[in-house]
Amino acid sequence: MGILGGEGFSLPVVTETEVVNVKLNFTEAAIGALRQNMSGDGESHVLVISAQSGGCSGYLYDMKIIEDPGDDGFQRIDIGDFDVLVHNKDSSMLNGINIDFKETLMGGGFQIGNPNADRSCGCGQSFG
Amino acid sequence: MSLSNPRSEYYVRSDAVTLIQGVDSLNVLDRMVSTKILDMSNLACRDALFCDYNGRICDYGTVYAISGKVLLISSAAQHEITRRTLVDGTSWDEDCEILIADNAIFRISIFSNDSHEKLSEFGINYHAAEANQLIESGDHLFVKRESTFCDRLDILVKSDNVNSIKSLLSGLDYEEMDSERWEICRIMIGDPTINDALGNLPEEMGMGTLVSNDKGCYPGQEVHARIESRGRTIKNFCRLTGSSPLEIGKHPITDFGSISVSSSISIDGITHALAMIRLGESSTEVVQIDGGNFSMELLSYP
Repeated sequence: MGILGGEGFSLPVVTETEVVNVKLNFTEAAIGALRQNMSGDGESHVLVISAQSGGCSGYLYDMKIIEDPGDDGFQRIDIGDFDVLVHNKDSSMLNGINIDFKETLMGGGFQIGNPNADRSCGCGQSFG
Repeated sequence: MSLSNPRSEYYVRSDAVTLIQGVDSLNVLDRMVSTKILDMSNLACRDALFCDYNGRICDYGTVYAISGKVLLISSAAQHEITRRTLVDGTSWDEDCEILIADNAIFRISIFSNDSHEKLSEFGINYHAAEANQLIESGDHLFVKRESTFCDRLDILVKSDNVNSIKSLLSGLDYEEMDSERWEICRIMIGDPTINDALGNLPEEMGMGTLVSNDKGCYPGQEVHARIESRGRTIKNFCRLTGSSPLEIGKHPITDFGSISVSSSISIDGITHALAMIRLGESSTEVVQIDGGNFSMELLSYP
């Protein structure tokens, strides 16, 4: 498409936000539940906690267990049997979060409390 | 200056232009806006609202899907907040890059009352063109926009080509508008700037069509769902026309409480304004503000 290309068409990129050193707080229940989900793969896999736009308050949390992607762009937090990674771009939003695990049939699972959030959604997955 | 009979005119607009590229670009933007855009086909354009968690408008713009990339033209006043939210809202594993195209691509809005017959030189047939579908002509993109006031086309142009397009339009007897004439046209079209819309609810602005109640969660969705179930709003966006000057700001009105004027221009003794009025159950067509009578027309987005 002519309008978005051609010789000399180069645009400045919007850069990432401020990067801070991330501290995370896990309860014993959360570490126990994560250990169970890791199924002994702590040597090769990591937990990535991230944020993305969405939900009714503006941002959504995401937690993924993935093969260790290395340290490029991430901060690594050792919590014992496995490492937790937070991407630099999410560091200011996720610094200081408290991760708990509730073992209830209704509304159970991982719960994140975020001291940086001005508000959060009733479902607990969205913050802003 | 006749407003009921627009001449062939154009205006080079100064908007914030953002290019979003990568396979996840439409997905990232869709999570932020109240308007469903995931189903947009290539070479389509759609207006979209950015709202805060209270459902109030914080920016609005037009989304263009162009060969796997997304061009967002939004308000210059809110561009920093909108771009920052786009960058912060992209997940680390998504392919989405936000680029600033403010001085690289321009939008020219052109108006006429003869269906732009003179534009056949560009291969544009206004009657046959489908609204909100981009038509490529050389390095430019034309798009027919819906308007109740006159025949409107927008052209997306690279900065290098702006002067040549202006020369071509002048050669076809299109006249360039100054900012004053554009302000009148904008008010007549009912095209709000972010100054008119900021902090208001989409339904109050007559922009309910830009809220997709079937797209799931997005910022402000809970408030929009509540408004839909309630079925009405207390305030309404309107156009005022009268012979007295009208200053921007809040004015008391008998029987209505107050009216907030957000755009106003007086020319040849006639004042044209955009305002938010607390209408209640009334269906009046004339309001008295600061001693002057103004005819009032409730607006909805075209």
